[in-house]
Amino acid sequence: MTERTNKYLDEVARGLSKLPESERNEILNEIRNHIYEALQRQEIEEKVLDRLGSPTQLAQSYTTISDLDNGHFAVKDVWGNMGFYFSTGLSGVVIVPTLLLIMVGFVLFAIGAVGYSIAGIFMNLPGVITFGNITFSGIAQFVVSIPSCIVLLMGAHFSWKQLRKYISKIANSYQHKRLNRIR
Amino acid sequence: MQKSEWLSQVRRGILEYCILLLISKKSMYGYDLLTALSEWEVLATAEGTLYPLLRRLERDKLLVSNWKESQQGVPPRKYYDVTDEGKQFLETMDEEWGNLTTAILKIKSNEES
Repeated sequence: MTERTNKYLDEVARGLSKLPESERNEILNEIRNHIYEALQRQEIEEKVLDRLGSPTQLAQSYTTISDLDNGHFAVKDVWGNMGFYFSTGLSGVVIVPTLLLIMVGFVLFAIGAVGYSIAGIFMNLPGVITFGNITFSGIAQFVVSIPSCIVLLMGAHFSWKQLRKYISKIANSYQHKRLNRIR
Repeated sequence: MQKSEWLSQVRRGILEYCILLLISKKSMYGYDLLTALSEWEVLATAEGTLYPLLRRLERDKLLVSNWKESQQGVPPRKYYDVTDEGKQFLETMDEEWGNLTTAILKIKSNEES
């Protein structure tokens, strides 16, 4: 066994430190034997270790099985995963409603602009749409309100798309979280 | 969905089945299994996936392992065997696998007619 292999195994051992010693040794012996068998067949050490994956990741694949197995899961794992659930949970609570409010706001303004300008034609309401120092009223205001309505609806559409993107991102990260657990 | 993503999902599901099938024919150790699996490109599995999976199958009492010395001067290898429980599970898997392939074949033939 070369220094490189020993270093690799040491790192795996460190990742397995919360397992009982007998279990840890059993795992390490099997990995050590695997490396031995591969080298016996003229495989290149670097490639063998590469294929085993990073030592931390390899150890993790073992401990996630064992945590659930031994009922250790509760405290340590909840603690370890806290960052993940806290950040996704909290951002979900803030970002999702915010995006939703922005979207609803855009839609309401769009309807409001057209509605007000139509009412303006019949009821002679004061013009509210201004462009530079020109204030539109009556028919002119109605005409101008159409493009502004379109712009506002585009804004609503954009925030809707962002919302969907954000929700699918969160859903994805939860899914991957669970996949990690099962493996 | 991309091919690789789909394939890895399918593979994850049938890997246990293939492992139990292979070991049920004869006792095998990890390296042996990897070589056997890599004979078919679609089954080729990373070491970092196989070993923890073997451990899980052993924990679930579908496999049992023994360190055996095969030849003098060669370090002992960890050989796996299928337990009675594993054999029973394998029978269930055989049956379900049959159902699965039949279903797919039927869907395909309906499509063409």
